[in-house]
Amino acid sequence: MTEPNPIKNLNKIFDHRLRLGIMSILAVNKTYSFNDLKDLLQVTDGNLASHIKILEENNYLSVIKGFIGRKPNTLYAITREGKDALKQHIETLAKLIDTMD
Amino acid sequence: MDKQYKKITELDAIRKLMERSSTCIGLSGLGGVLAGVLALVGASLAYHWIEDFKENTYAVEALQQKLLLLGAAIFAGALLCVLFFSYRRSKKIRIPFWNSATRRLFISIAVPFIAGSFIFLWVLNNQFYFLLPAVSLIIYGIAIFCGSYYTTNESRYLAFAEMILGCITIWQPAYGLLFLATGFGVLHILYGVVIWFRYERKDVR
Repeated sequence: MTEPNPIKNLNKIFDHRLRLGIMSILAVNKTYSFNDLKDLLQVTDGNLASHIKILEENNYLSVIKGFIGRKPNTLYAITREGKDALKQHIETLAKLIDTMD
Repeated sequence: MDKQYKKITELDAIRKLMERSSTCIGLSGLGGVLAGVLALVGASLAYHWIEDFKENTYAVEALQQKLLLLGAAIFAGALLCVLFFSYRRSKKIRIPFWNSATRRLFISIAVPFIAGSFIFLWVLNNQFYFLLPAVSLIIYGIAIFCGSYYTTNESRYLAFAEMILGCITIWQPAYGLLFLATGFGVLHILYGVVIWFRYERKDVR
């Protein structure tokens, strides 16, 4: 029996480092705001928003809209689905590195 | 080989982002050392005032007032030291000082601290002065313990040490000042030195 191709387990959605970054942050924080994500990842509004949209469309994160005073304050949280997907992706990465050693 | 390198850096980036987003890594050891030194200076001043009081007994209220003011001043000075050096450090390692992790750290310390300060005020108001060192050490230890979830793990040891010291102080109130000096002086210096050697020293611009 041949080994199944391990690359198959790498998630296409996490190909982009920004999406992987967003998910890594959400994995260890209950919620995280748009502005804090922007500060930490050092990206522009538009860029961040478009990648968040892709993750949202895949049900990997949920959006909690809120306000601080009058300013919109949007929070994001990882979903069960997103957490599982990220876990599998990271495990595959780690396995690949192990086999190459 | 190249691909493998890419995967390793990817995992490393994930780990770093997880750490940076959830823990406040900008706390300065230097600030801690200075806060500790300030506390030791305060404690020795207090010691001399008390010795002086024993020799020429003046009004005890005047001494109490002086000691309380000294305590408040040292507290404010130490807080400023930590804030200033931590601000400087986060500038240096290029992370926003007031980010989500710092806010969580601040709230989780402030809430038990404020709640605890009511106990402190009650003890003060009812003139159980001998309990003040124990109460302040225990409250401080609890506050740091709560905050330790949002910063480096060393802070948990600091929290336990403060709480244990506070509990011992309840049974040995006569050595209150000595325990205060140990808890707020020596322990902070120790904590600061450890943070400096483990993390701050390796900071790169």
